[in-house]
Amino acid sequence: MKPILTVSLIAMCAGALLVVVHIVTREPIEANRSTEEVNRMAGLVDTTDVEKLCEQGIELQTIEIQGYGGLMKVLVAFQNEKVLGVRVTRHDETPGFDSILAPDDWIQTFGSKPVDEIDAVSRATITSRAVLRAVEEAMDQHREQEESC
Amino acid sequence: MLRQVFAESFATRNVATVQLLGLCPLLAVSYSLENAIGLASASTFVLLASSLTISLFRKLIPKNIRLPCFVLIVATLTTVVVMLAQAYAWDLYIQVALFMQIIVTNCMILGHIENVAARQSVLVSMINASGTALGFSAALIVFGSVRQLLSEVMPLAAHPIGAFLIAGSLLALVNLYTKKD
Repeated sequence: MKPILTVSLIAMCAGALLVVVHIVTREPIEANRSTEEVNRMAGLVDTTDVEKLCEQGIELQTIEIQGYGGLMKVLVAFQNEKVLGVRVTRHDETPGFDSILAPDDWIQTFGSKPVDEIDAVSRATITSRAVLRAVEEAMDQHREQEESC
Repeated sequence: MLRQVFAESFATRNVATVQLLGLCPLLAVSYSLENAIGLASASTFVLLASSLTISLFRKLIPKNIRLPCFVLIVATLTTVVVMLAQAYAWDLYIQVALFMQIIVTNCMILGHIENVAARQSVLVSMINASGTALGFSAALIVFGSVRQLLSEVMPLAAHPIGAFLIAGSLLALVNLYTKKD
């Protein structure tokens, strides 16, 4: 009985501590992630304002998809009915794989090749496949959508 | 006696150069002094906090479930450190995210807890923990500096191969200097 009580007590205290720290850090983390979002759009678009993008002839689809560690926010930009480029602006993937999703790596191949010629990344199957699925979903949405510009 | 505890944990039984524990993060982040200091601080926080907690309650944790309890406490503290880093040190966190998240698996923490914190008084445990943390940080800083300086002259040093070679050389030097026979 004693082991059960001890572990339960420790677990409850640990849970309480985590809740407190989570509440305290929630806002600063959100602020940091938002700044990061803007940074990660680099090289593709510099704003999410629909009108400004229309002036450049760019249409943006934002897809939220389940990745390996949580929801990913994938931005797919279209120009002249073709995929211009893709950026992952928010994710919870394993930290080492951020290099794949960083604006200067695998993610950059979108737009330079047709989407069905882009392979998933072998050591980050779930992550890269999620991005590919998100791009396909964006393409479907873009096709069904009426002209917005 | 307390001075001896500190001297032992910092020098003669240095966790990185003598006990050879916690080498994974050491080798991984030592390419940059700034990142090395950041990770050393995070590990130190987890080590000190878990040492304090476990040594305070050491008589209340049943021996047969002590390991799950230790890991539970250290993992919670690791998550706390990660959340704090994400909130207040985002740029550092981005650099060392992976290694901050696996601080719980750092053998020096569990080694210290099992051998010292779970058996000794709070005072002895904290002094030993401080010595261990400082010893680890010192090793990290020395190693990081050497590696960063060498990588100016020898690009190999910046890669994992160079890290292992430098680590081996430094350990050999330490042994040369300290072994009497």
